[in-house]
Amino acid sequence: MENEKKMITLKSSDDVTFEVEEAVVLESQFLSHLVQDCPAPEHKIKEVTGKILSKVVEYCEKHVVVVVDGGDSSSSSGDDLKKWDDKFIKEMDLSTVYDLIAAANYLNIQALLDLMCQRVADVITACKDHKEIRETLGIVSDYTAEEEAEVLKENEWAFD
Amino acid sequence: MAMRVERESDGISATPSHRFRSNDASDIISSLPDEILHHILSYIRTKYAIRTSALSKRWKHVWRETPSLSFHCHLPDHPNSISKTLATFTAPKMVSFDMDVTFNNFSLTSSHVDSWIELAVSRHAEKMSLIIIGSVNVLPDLFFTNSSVNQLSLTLGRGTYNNCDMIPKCTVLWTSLRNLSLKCFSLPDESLANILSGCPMLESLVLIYCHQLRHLDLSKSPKLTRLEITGQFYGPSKIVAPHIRFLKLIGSLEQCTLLDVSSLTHATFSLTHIRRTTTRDDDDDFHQDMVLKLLEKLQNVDKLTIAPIFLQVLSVAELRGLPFPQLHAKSLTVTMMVVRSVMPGLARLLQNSPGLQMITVNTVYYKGIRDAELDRHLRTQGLNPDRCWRFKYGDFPATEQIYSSSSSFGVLAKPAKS
Repeated sequence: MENEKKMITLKSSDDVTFEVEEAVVLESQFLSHLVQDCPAPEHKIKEVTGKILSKVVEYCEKHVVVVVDGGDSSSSSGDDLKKWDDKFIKEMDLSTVYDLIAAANYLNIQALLDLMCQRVADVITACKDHKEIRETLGIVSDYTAEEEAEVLKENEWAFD
Repeated sequence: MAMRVERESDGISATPSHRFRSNDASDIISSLPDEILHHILSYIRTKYAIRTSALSKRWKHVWRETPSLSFHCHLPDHPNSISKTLATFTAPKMVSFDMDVTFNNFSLTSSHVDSWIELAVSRHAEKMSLIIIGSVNVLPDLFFTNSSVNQLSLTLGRGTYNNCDMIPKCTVLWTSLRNLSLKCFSLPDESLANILSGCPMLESLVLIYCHQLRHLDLSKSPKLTRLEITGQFYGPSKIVAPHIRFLKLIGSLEQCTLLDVSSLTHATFSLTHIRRTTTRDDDDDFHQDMVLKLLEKLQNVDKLTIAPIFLQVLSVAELRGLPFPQLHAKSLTVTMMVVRSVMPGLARLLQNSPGLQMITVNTVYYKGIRDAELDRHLRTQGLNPDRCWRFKYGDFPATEQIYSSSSSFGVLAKPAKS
């Protein structure tokens, strides 16, 4: 017995629409509640732009397919999924990563949030010191020289 | 979203290059909520997370509130530094406490370790991974009565070949523990029984290089379905594990009998060495009995994985005409060198596995038993090596002809009729 796949339309803040299967929407805790509570054909997501929503949809579509196909031999599909995730991330610049963190947090998509946070973590780890982290992430210090010296001294071993 | 900025369109590399930088001067990451920053830092070792405290005032306390700690310190860091750092840690709840540290010169004391454990327990650490190599080999009682921990992996003392005792002096109470891994311990049967009786939720047990275990009895742990033992010429000689569904034996076990593994569906025998049965080469029988008896116990196993030494021993048994059990596996994975001495065993294994649907062959470079040793054994049994196998399997190289292939290939095949 095959159920007809239910389609749902998502509309971004800038009115870009995406037609997706219901299973894709269920990847997001937020959207699955929204769809259940108000069964409208179209849902506007005011907080997410079309560009970012397209990334979110791309991610969820990929992940939903694998879960359905998974079955017993999940290890190889797990590897494939990881490769796909790596590629997904590598093509992305930092501001998109931030936008996707905010979107994944808002839409409550844990795996996407994890992936994006891991990406930022990798960038921080790859920096040789706190100055390089600042430069890479565009953070401006509001410490005075004395305050900064004090912070460095407090956990000296971490800054060698 | 309000936080959009101009972006560069080209790709980025894994390292922080200039391309991976927002063009906008606005500092987006610092405006993310605390819990997101904690989430980011939870992927980072604590040493690097601490560095973020120097970025700006926004970041000064973020690392302290991150609900996971990860120390990977080796000399020359001093345990006092870790203790000092931990004293400023403020998160009320710890999801993960991961410590992989090595100290020498007696810089590490019990009071260091006790205070670290106390912190982890007081913050309800759920996942603890402790590799503490140094001059401390006793854990406080508090460690053994921790109802929050659900994953625990532990190595303590002076390292791989200097096992310290895993003998809790108190009644163990790990009421939430699901996964336990112990490495390099002296673990007498009574101690393991004490531990198991305090872990009603335990699902997976991993024992790596644990001494003194003789009779492994898991019959009172109905939820425990996964067992993995890595040995190094010692380990349990008897295993009673009626609830186990997944079993892995790795490394080298001296003599191991499976008394009850009636629920077993997945078995992996990645044994790389079998200790010679005697010091005199002539009398060595390569533990054929043990290997055949292990196979006999696999009546409900669907998925069987075996390593090269296992196949070679099966070859010897086959050439001698020893009775060989019928198997019901649907999937068989063999890791082997394509050499003469594995072929008789492999052929028999396939013939005795009529339900086989999939065979996966991984080829490795592996020395194992030399053909000359095998011949010598066959002669002691009154067999003529040339007649009984050298001629029949002559198309395949001898083990002595070094054969190397790192590639792995998988084949889908019906059982071969060889």
